[in-house]
Amino acid sequence: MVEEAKIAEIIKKTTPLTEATFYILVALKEPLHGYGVMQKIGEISHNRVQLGPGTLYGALSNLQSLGLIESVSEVGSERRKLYCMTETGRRVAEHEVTRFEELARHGRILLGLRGIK
Amino acid sequence: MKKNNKETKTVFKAIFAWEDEKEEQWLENMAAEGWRLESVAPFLYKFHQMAPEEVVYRLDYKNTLDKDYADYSTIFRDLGWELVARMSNWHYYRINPQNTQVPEIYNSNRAKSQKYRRLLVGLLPLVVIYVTLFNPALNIFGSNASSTGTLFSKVIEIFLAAFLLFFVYVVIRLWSKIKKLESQSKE
Repeated sequence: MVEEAKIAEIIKKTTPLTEATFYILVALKEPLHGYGVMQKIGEISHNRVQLGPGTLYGALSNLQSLGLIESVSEVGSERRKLYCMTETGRRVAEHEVTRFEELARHGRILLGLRGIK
Repeated sequence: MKKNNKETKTVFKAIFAWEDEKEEQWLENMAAEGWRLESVAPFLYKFHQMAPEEVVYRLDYKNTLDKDYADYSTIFRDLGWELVARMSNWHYYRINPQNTQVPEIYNSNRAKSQKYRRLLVGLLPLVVIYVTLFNPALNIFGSNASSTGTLFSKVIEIFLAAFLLFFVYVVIRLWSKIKKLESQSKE
């Protein structure tokens, strides 16, 4: 129960996430390094979401200090850091997905659009 | 590097910390005229001549002593940005816009404002040095507010006062820049 209260507090503190931060967080369901995050986001959004290195680095260090992602290990001779979503990070991401769905549903109702259901 | 070669030139240009966008534009114009940036010292820019090129320059401020500096550098390199020159904590990056769809290092004004916040933090040691040097209690220059101060200590005092005014001006310029970027943020 204490754990739940703590997560609720973290959600309150960290959301709403910016678009860039949200994409980076959900891309890290599996461990990736910075460049991998960038590739994955480009792939899934058909290159609509493009991140510059300053934004990517800033969001990664910010998410890390909030405890939503963690660095798992370093790979290769260049010692690239691998990042991965934490359990808390997953809860925050799920909270955001639910919120987006609600926004979309309400938008459809108010605009009289036919939803995909 | 060949020294005293016609193909290099050093240019003096007074550009300050809050004018980094102007500086980027200037470096891009130099590249378009066939001058590629080689190194930077305070107000001095060294170029070497080559075929005119259409490139994008971007400046970033990052403390090289930061623990995550290696990760920072790796991300810039992986995303195709070449570190051309570095002056203290100022990093001069270059990219060929054809190699990327976003020739920007920051996508949002909010992220960009963080750069100037880092710069303000980077200026803090100067405040500490200033307070130490100029603190009457420490009396480093032996000027105890009476007429016993030597000409040298007077000169130092005037210099420090001028420096303080300039410093305050720099902080105000940077602070207004941060506030402007944050208010323009669409996120």
